[in-house]
Amino acid sequence: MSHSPLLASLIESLKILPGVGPKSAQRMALHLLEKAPQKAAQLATDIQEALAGIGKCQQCRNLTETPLCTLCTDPRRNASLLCVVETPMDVLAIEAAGGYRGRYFVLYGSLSPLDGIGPADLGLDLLAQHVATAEIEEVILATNLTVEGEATAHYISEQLRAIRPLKLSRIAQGVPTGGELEYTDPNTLTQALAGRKHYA
Amino acid sequence: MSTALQPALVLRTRPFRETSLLVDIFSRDAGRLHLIARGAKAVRRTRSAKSSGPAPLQSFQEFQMGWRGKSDLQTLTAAEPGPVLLTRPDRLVIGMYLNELLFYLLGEADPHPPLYALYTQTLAQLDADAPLELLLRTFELELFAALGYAIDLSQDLAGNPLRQDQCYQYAPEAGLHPAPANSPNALAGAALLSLHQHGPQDPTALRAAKRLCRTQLERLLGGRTLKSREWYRQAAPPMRKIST
Ligand SMILES: [Zn+2]
Repeated sequence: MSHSPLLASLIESLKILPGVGPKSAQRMALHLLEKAPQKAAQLATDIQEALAGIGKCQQCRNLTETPLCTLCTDPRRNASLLCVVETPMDVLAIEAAGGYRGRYFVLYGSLSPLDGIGPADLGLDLLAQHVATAEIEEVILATNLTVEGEATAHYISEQLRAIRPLKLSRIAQGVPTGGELEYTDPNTLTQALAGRKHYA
Repeated sequence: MSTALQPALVLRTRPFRETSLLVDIFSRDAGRLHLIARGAKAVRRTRSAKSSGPAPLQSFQEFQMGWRGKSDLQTLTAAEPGPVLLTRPDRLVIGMYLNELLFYLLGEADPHPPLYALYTQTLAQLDADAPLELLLRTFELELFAALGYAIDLSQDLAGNPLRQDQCYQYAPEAGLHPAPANSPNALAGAALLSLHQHGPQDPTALRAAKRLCRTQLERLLGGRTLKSREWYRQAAPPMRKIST
């Protein structure tokens, strides 16, 4: 059976959602049209408004509806501490874990030449400008522990070092909580030994 | 039928559908291949404290890989992790430069075992603080040769052996020809000979080698610019001292 043009287009659009294949997209489209037309209209409005109203924070690039996000304007956050992460999801993960009271900077990716991603794509000019002018004392490089994440952390550290003296740190890597050495992969184990901490 | 496991490194991975990865590899015996690793993304996400699980597919680590299928998109069936060859954060961008070269210039399923050996060796030497320029030029020259675009450093266009005291120009389609020392991109014969004999390299020789390789690369890449080189050039002063 072939779909009418509008239905086919809706199904195509739904397929961009994570975890949604052609079958589920078709089910969703039919559900929206048949069973919940009013809610579907609300969904369409919500998507449009979110697209129009949500942008990137002028200071940290996290998603926000105001020029500066709530994390950047919250006076209780420690303004001398800046944590650089790859995605808004990383901010959410660190916030959910609790314990961190500084601010963030979101790159939206990592340096990856074969994916066409270079420094200009990661907002590094904004980061440099921010670090040059704000009273930041320490920048935590919390990019992923992948080849791209490591390369990005190194690149940013070189850039920031050239601006002014600054404490730069990298998130630790090693054996996870609850982890057993026997089951830890060799690379992680090597890193864990190399990055061992003084035992007080 | 799966192939027997053979050494390979990852050049690039891309997410595919919800849980899979598209993986471009450079294998020792089958050359550059485009594979699908089903479930590989899920593996990366759910690796927990207790399960060692399959190692994430990443560049600069040698794997023993197997695959099957005969279409242009074969399926990765095994990837047993081996040694990580390059970890130095300041040299990762150089490794990425090598990956870009291999990705764009190698034909698919075109085996180059000697180049593979040089690639792994070069990565290891990058990690070990070897002088950069000679390492890169050696790799580039070998790559040209593997692709069938070797630069003949033993003789000029007319078939005469290169002379220490003569300068040369390189014509991409043809080869080296004698030229006055003040001509654009003139290369000193002494520098070319020294490069040819893998002899000790002085800065003049290395500059000449770089110009030579750059000319050849521009031709092979057909106007494509390499992101890693762009990124490298934009790097802060401490990194700018060395160059690809
Ligand atoms: Zn913000």
